[in-house]
Amino acid sequence: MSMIDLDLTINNQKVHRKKIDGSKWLNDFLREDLGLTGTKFCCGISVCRVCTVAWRRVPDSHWEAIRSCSTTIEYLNGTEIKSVEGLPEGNELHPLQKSFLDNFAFQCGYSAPGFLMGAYCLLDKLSRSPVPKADIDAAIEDAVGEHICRCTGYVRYRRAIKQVVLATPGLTV
Amino acid sequence: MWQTRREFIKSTVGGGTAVLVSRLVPFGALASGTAQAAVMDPPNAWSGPPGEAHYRIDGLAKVTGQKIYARDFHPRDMPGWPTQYRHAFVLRTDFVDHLFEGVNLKALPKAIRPTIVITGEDLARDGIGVARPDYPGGNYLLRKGERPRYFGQEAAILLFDEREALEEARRILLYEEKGARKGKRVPVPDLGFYSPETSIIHVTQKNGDQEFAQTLGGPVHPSEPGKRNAEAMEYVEQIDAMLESGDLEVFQGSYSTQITDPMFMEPENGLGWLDPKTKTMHLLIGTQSPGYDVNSSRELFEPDDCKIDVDTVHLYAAYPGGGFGGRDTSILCLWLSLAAAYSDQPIRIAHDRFQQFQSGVKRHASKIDLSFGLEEDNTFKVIRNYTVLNGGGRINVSSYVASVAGILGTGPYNFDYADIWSRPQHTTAVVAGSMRGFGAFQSFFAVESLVDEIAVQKGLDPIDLRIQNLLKKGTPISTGAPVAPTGLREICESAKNHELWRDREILKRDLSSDEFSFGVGFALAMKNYGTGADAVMAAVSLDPTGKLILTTNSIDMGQGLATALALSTADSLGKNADEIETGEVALFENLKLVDGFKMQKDNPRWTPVIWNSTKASSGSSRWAHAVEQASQVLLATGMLPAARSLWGRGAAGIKPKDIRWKQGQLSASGFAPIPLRDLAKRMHEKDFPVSSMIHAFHSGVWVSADYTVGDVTDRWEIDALAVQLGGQAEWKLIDRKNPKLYTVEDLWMKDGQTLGSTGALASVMVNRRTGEPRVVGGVHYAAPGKIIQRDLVEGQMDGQWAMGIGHALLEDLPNSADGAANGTWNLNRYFVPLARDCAIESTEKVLLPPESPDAPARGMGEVPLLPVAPSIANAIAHATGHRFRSLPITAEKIRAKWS
Repeated sequence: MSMIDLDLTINNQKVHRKKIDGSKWLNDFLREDLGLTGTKFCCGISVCRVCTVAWRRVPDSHWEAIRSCSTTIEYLNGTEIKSVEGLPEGNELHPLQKSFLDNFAFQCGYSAPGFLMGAYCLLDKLSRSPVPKADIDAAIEDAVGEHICRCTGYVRYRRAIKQVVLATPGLTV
Repeated sequence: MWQTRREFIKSTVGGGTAVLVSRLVPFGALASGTAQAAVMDPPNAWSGPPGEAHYRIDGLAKVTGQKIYARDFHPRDMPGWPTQYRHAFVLRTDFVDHLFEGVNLKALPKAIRPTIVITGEDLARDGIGVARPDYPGGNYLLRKGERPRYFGQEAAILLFDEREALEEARRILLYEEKGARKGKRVPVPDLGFYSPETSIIHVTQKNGDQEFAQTLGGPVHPSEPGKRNAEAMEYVEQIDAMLESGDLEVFQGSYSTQITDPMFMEPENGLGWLDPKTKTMHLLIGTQSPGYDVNSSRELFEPDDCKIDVDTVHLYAAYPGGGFGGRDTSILCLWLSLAAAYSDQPIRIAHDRFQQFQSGVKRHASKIDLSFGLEEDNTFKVIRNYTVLNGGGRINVSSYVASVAGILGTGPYNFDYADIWSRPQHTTAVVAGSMRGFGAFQSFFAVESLVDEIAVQKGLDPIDLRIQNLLKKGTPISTGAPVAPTGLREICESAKNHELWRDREILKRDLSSDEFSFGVGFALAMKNYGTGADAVMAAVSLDPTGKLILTTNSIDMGQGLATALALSTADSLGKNADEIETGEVALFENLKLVDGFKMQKDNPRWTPVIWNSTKASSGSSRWAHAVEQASQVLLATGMLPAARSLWGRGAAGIKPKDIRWKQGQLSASGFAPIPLRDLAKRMHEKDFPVSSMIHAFHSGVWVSADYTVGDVTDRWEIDALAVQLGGQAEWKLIDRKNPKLYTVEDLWMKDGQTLGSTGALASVMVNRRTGEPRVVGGVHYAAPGKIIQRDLVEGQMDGQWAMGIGHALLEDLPNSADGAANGTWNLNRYFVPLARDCAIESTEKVLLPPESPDAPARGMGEVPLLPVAPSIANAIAHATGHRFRSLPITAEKIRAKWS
């Protein structure tokens, strides 16, 4: 156990903790310590991607999808996290959230936050490196193809994400 | 006293422990979550025009990550609970051939040792009772010197003060030094079979009349004494003789399916707290069966000599993160209750995925020996289906699973002679129980594989052979009940004309290569929706502003039930419900029902079954009926009288058939439309009924009775009614008159089944080098009848297509010491399909249109799963030329055949 002073930015809020166990998984820190239970837990071994959150090292860098069940807070110290609770923009749902609703994308909903955050990172990536429209499916597969959902068969998740990519200016060429 | 939900086992309830079930969070625009969410989304944004949803009623809560699942809750979130709590770990064994010699915690450093250890000796000493309906074996924790009866049998509950200590202790006890000490080696006896088993003998005469059937005198057990059983045995022997006579062309096959895990995404979790002041056992569980859970907990503490004093069990039903049957009668409620009973603080059980694989109920593995006897013209004449399901170490619902496997053991085909014997075997395997498909999954893999094999052997088109032998709509199924579903022929004909089937040989030629072999397969299926003894409850309530609140005891586990029910008020009440409260039970105590298998003719409170768990794809059919009936009652007894009073004297003759809803206003020819808000105000001011609460029971048909409310008498398809008048809090019970009732015993005569049809075309590519099979396309058929919300139905089909692929090709748990119970299983070894496995861009869905304007809404939560695996097996046979009769069909098995 390595005790650290933690300094994180989570959903635009500064989070400081003195002498906290640095080996704690981010998922536990979010859910158990901060009460941010929107990020889910499923396999705990980095396979299912249910626990995905967005992470970036410094402001304005790329958002990357990481698995909170198997990433320690020590590794993330000094960086920035966005979870599903931070996805709305002001009082507006994020377009991905709207699209998930409009497409009836999820069923039990337990995998939805992971898909949302994986797709959020994809949008960020495409905003910096747009792809031809013909490559959107491959880009979505690359972003969320490893995410597991037991209810939906994935069809409507894919549809919802694709609609947002196509509707957002600058993501495709 | 509220009864358990098990249909065919009467639970003899004694003692005076009260039970209560509450919903944590009602779903609806105004109560769907945090203030932030309400601001982001205007009220009722989910709700479309009457009968339509823009999105799921629970959608906003889910898409914003709100706290709704059991795993999201801690004791600190529960009003009135102490905030300090303990973390419970259920220690399990991974052996069955040695005696258990006690708990071994020596390997744990002192700092991480449990504060409290609960053992089997503790339970015996304190007189802990037995949860009879589904875990009748009792002995919930092993005692020293006992042999574990099944892999994963529970040895102790360890309570830790710190979560981190539990995690470290769990790791040490799993990987370093086992926590369950092994004693001397002992033999494992043959455990036989659970009772009851299912035998179905069905014989039809040449003129089409039924000669022998379950519906003509009840179920039989040919090997047991009795005149009717002896008669059944004569038919068994006759069928054997026919298959051996040489007069028929006989085809046989032995099929097997594997143990699979429901693998719902949220591992099971829960909270427990025994409040010493009120002697209330509080539980929080994400469950499909709150009624079972609360009663099982009660039964633990009910024996007279039980030293743990519990007056009330109060269950909070959290939202399940997936279910698929696996949260129906889960044993988790027992561990929560026991852990809480021995702790002076609340407790929390939060399974990780390893523990979930160890402890969660599984789908029964099966072995099916199947024989078909065909006449010269390829008419199916005789079937013999002997099915053995691996029921594991506790009976749970295995007998019911065997029953459904048996009822559907002939597939959707007509046979003049049928001998079906379906038995749940008592084994040392992990506990098997309810899971989507419920026995039918196993039956259809066998039947649809053999039908395909027969056709190919005889050079026939497999779909033509099916069409030739199909059950016709409304003809008798295996039980003798004339309930064969609509859509079977239509699905066959649609598939036969689909280019994937029509051109399958051309496609095979063109798409196969040195690297891949292409094939196409078809399978057909049908399954019951509802259990045959369905009890449902619903209440609708209109507030003075016109806000409509719906309450039901059913559970939405993701299938969309909450949304579908909220839409089901629209036909009668002109609007969708504004809020729905699911999993609520206490409210319905106002109906003061008593249950019992024997009819109590003169007791207006009697019903065969008070409540069911949410299962058997019954939401869109059974519970929607409950909502529709409650809505119709409110319209007829509350709204219409209020409307007449507003319209004046000339409206006295206006009947329900004369009114229409238009844009939220009630209208009748010649009268000014009345906005709902004005109607609601009048209903409350003039003491008209403003709420109605009903109970209904279905066993093939709905019960019905006359009810008089005020001066309105109508006949409703319900067996209990209460109304709430404007301005009054109490519910007024309305006695039924002239009832047409049914008992559970009637079921065998009337059968009580309702079935839906489904089919699948699958195309596969098999890698010639590695043997890896992949689904590359398909067509998925269903006949849902009336569709409440198409998005929900299609979503169910998508999910079942994926689950079928997983069961066919990927998922497998060994039935041995290396199986799920050993604590090392997770998603790195148990492969569930990813999007790329499901051919989602090249799979069509075909939903047959309703066969008539009054077609029922058929449950789609299980039916479309059934043809997927056999269609893939048949496609692999087409691609490879080899039959694979054991699931999953892996690359290894294919390579072995090729070699």
